[in-house]
Amino acid sequence: MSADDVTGTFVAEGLTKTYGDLVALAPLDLTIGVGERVMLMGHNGSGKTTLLRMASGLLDPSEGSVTISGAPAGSLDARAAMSFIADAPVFYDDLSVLEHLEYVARMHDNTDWQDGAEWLLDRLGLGHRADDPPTRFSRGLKQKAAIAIALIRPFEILLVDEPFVGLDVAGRTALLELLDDVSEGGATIVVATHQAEFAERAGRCLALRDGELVYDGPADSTEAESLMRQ
Amino acid sequence: MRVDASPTQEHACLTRSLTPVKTVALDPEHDVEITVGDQALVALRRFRRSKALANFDWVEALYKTYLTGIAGIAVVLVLSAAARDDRLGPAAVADVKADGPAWVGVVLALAIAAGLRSGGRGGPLALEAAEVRHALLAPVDRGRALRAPAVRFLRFSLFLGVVGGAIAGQVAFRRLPGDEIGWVAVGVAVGVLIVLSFAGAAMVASGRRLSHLWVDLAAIAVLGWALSDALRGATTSPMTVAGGIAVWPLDLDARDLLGVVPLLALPVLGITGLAGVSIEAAERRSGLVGQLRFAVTLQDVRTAVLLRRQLTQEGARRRPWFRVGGLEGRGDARFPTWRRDWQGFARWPLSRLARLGILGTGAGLCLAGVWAGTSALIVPAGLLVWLAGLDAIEPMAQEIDHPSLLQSYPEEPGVVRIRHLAVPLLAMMPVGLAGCAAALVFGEPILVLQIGLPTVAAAALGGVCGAAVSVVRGAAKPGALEQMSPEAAGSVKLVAAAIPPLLATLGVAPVLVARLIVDRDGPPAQGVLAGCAFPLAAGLMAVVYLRMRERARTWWTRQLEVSMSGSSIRDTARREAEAIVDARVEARAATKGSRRRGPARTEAPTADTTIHETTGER
Repeated sequence: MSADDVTGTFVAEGLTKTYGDLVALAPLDLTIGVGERVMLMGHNGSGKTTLLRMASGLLDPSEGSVTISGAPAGSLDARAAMSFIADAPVFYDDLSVLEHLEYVARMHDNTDWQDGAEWLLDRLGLGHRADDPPTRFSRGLKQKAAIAIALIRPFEILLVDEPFVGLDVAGRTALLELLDDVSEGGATIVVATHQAEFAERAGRCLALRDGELVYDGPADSTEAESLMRQ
Repeated sequence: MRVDASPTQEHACLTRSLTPVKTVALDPEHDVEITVGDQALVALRRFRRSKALANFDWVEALYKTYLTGIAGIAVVLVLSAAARDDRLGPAAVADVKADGPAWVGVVLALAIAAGLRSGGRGGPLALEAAEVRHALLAPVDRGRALRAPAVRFLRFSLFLGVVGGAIAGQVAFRRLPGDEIGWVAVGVAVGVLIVLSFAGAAMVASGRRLSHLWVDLAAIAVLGWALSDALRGATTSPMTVAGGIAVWPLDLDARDLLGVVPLLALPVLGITGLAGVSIEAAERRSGLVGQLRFAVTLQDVRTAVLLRRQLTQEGARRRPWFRVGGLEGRGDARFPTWRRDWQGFARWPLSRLARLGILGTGAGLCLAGVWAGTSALIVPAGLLVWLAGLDAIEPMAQEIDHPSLLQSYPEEPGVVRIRHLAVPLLAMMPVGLAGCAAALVFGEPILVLQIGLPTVAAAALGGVCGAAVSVVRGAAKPGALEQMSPEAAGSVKLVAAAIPPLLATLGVAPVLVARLIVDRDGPPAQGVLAGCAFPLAAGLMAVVYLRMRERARTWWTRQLEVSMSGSSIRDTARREAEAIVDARVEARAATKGSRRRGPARTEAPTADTTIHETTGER
């Protein structure tokens, strides 16, 4: 498929991941359009993280392909277009939160990062810890720092893996508001979560079970709600 | 549409500009400037370097350098002294001149094969996890981003090659004609070639994302080519040609440089193809290598072994090589550890079997060198046997990995540990036989049978015992030596770390003892038998350690506590006893004074009596 044929921001074609005999993700065909808010559900080991990590370029597909904004996942253009908040955030040992933000912003050619950083840190309640290394933070604070780092840079699609884990109520609310803001800005959002609050905001729900896509439809349908409860 | 977070929440689309933007200081104190993409990466690294330098503890670094220097000098002196054997005769020198290049070629081929296999699994670079996530997922040229870590890796490899080569040159000079500087220079050159071949092959394989199958086939082809040259006495492979450099002090031939060209091309090719490195492999390695370094720092050999297996994706076979019968038999109930150990071995992956074969072959070749007169080769032989033992001791190591299971058995842990020695001992026999087969290349079959076969059993004993002690000893416990001075604690740690490889080295001692006896016109068989006293002693020490470890530690801890704080315990006991006496005297006086009930039925103990009871002294 050429870039011209792409109609969605996120296009997977026969995307498969296997580890020996274990099928982590069965062949998946999926198109996510520009500006969609997608909720990705599934029990542990269903393939949610595998899908997101392949889209981000952190995992190599065993078969098939995935494109981000028309570019193969992991390519330079795809990396520029995609921002990923992983379930396990990682940081440099010797950089503060603010230094992380500056570095990542500049790697993505965002030079007017200071005001954005200050605003993000305030929204996430991290303003007073801006000069501390995030490696020393608690799980929740690390998650907040990872969110700030993912949002400080420009992107077209935001991939988020279990972002609410470890966040307090204020953090969850702030994140939901930030996701609203991002969506209003026109970006595509794919969030792997079971959080009912996000389901209310999501327009589309995808459910995976044992590596296979078992539901693709509205997030507010009875079937989606039933899957969410499982 | 591109969005970014902004203070006004107006998500203006940002267009990526390839033109440099105005530079901004990342940290005013360090005056680091950043522009875009790649330059941001360079600036960050410079900034982190300057930050690290600012926090650098020079005193600590000097102390470490001092310790490393002393240890290094000691190693060189010991090796040099051990290598002070007789000079080779003209016939042996002619053999070295004729066969040496081909065998050095085999070593080079081994380095390439190891590099290919490492590269097939994403090696050799080990990046920080944050570097993978933030830098390699950013829109920057990955080749350029990886160049700095690759150069750092090459620099460190070169250092190892220079040091190792210099030591090998020293050893060669002791036995071969030629001047010392020449041999050391040649040793350094060959050492550098070996490490560059490894690093280059690994980078080529990882950058080109060669599949496991292809790297294995390529590794076998390269190794087979070099081995074929060595066995046929031919010079067809570039490795054999380059190996000619190793004998330059005996036979200088500039044509040997032709073999160097393809070897030096490997790192160049590797660095230019770094952009293709798999991020999946890089991320997996980043986590594992970090843990591996930590385990090595703690001298935790078992954790290092497990992490290395994860790094090379070496898992147990789903289908065993052979089936061990059901658990319901009468004999089965009597020997559960025996059966469990065989069941474990039945699931060993092919790569582990191959590694043990290579380790055995290496040990055999080293021992052939010892027999030929280079005594220092007993050290690498012992180390190779110890490494093989670390794989062979796997069933016992599994018990150590699961202490709750071990504690739940109706047996003392020491007894269970000793029962786990039997099968690994048998499993080590084929490793030793591989060594004998390798030694046949150099030695007469009768001599190999006379010296080699008894040494197989002895080496198995030494290797298994050394490995068992390593695994059971585990990681150095922080604080265990805190009551000692830093120098004493350092020495204790050094000795403790050296004991397991030493036990394994005692396992191969019969070859050295036999040679020394033959040098004095004694029969080789008598020498081997005399030499077997060393592995037997090593085995006895190891068995006692494995059996009595808990009791000995408890006893030692108690002795240490008593000796270090005995006076304070006695003071506390005296104070408590005095308090009791005072309380009883007061109570008696109160009883006499207020109620006049007559004398108390028991007398209060004297202070001395109470002290003895409290401290347990009799």
